[in-house]
Amino acid sequence: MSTIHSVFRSDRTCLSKLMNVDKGTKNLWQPVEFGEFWHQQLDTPLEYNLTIRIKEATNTYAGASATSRTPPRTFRELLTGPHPPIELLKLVKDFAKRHAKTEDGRLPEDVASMLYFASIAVALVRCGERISRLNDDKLRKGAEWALDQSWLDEATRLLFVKARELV
Amino acid sequence: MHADTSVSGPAFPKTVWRRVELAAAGDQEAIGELYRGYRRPLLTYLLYKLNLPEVQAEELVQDFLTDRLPRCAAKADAEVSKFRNLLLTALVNYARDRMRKDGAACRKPKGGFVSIDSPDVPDVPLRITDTEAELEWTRTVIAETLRRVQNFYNRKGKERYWVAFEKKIIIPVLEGAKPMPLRELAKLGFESPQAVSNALLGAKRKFEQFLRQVVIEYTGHRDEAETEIRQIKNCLSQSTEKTSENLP
Repeated sequence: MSTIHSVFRSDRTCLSKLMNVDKGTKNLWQPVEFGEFWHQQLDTPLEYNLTIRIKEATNTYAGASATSRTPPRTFRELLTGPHPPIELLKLVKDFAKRHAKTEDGRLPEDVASMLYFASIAVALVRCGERISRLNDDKLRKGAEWALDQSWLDEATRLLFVKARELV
Repeated sequence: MHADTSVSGPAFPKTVWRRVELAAAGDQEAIGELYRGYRRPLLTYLLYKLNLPEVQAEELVQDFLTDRLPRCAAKADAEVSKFRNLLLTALVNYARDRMRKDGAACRKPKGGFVSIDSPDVPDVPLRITDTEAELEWTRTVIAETLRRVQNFYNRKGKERYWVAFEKKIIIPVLEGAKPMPLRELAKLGFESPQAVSNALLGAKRKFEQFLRQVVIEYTGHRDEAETEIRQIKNCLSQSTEKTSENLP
């Protein structure tokens, strides 16, 4: 018996759920899966995500990469490197913001939000710059939210601790 | 027969009823349109509800539509039942009579005969009410939609997209099973969690797209298909029983 056969054994409630399954990815993943998404995201080449057009961005991946002689290759290299190019951090922030806001984002909303706050925190801690218009209160709340996530890795956790001290 | 033009009554969709009226008067073009519009869903019902082998189901649906479609069109009453419900009920009656006539055994294309009492062949219902026919039609549309989604990915060599959709969404929703976790889904050959996410998003969109395609084929009109989809969803949120009389 295939899955299609089971349609004829399913009751109205189940069929209704299938017909009304949400169109996006908002409820697709469980919190226990966010950690895996996050680790994979950190190891994803920047080029893979940032070469697509990001509506909110004022720069392109090529333009942002050109600001550094040795641009980082992955999200992890960008977020952990001692001298991250600020233009790339801005691009990551815009990419993450877009995914956190859209219902059909390829990243779970929480993972996109983590990337968003992480890019802002790195700019603040390692470059001494603010790349968002969020005020101190919102930045602190963002850092506290990030620190509350059980799936967050240790390096990023320390980053948010430092960022929280600066705002 | 007189067609109600309201969008909520049993007569909807009006394109179908126009064809039914013409078919009842012997219009061959209208009979052909109804044949093409209803053949595939009825075949899906025989394959997945009655579990008939493909060749036998093909033969049965062709014989049914050839023998009974004009008669169904003539007996159709927009005040009593939707045409699709009437057609499905008539198909059930036809299949039951045909199997009885064949002497409690149905011909099987390869490997001899399969008994109607075989556990692989569920009982053909003795009589189905209009409410039951409505629900069975809804199931048929969903089954046909899923069949098309699966075929689409198989043809594209992207079987893993279907499997991900099946294990993460369909089986958990229909059977209450636990959704396959990301770690297992990734083993299907996806390069990253984002790729899994993309595949599931794509499959959901394909489901919507093929649902519309299936409904447009038998309603014959894009706008009427939207109303039909709403009615199908409404059917799933209702539980009132209504018996239909005088079905062929």
